[in-house]
Amino acid sequence: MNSKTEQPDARPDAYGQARRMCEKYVERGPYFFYPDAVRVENVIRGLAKNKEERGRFYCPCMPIEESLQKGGHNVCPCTAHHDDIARDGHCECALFVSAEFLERERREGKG
Amino acid sequence: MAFRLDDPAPGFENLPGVDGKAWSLSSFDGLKAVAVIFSCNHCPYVVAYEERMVDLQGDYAGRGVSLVAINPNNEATHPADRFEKMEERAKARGFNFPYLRDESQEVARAYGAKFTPEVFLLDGERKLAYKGRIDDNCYEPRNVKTRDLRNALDAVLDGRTPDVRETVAVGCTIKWK
Repeated sequence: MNSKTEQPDARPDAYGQARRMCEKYVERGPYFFYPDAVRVENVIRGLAKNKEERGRFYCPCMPIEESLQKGGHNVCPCTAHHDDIARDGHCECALFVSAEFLERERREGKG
Repeated sequence: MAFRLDDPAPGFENLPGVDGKAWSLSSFDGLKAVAVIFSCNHCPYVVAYEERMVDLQGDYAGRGVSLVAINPNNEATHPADRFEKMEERAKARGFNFPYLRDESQEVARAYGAKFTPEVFLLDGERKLAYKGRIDDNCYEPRNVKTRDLRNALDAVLDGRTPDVRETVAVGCTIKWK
């Protein structure tokens, strides 16, 4: 069995680092993961891909060319995420959400 | 009012397409299904899915289906989503489906779209049959486990209700004005 075909596209260590980083951030509070596991998984894979290819956990929702020009601004958790979550209930890539957003999604049967 | 499963689709009128034509929902009259996909030029998720969108159109066009991509992003904050850039993108990527501009974002709001790409699959009566993601793996097409849009299309074309009616789209948030 080729173990590589079972791994996410980024090397296991980058993926593992991305997942641990995000999980620790959520554990710390006050934010939560977006209430859909597939969505969260794809964002984390995107973080891992950027770590593997560019050396940092650049937000996978931002064009990488822009992120590279902005220093650490778009490195997850990004500089703008507190303001974005306060305004929209979720960060730019909807990885992290507020308690209020989570409650709204649950009331609508989505969480 | 929220656009829910089995609701009739909100119409749209005269959205400019990169092919130089103005497109309305009625432009697709007679087709058995229309997959409205809110999309954009720059989102890395859309970029990852573009080839699959072209493949979908190629595979299903002969069965009375059309994709239609609609870009609602705010070009003031995201100039990469300007119409001229849409024309370039469609040409460079060989889009074989209409790619329309929703400048006012009214269509995106009417559909309740949140992400790009996000699918709203309309059946032959233009009722919402499925909404959400194209499949479950943005970065690894070969490792996709659930081909959500294809599964829903096959069901609709067979006259069945899709087994999975709704998923959460995998994509970037729409850039609202």
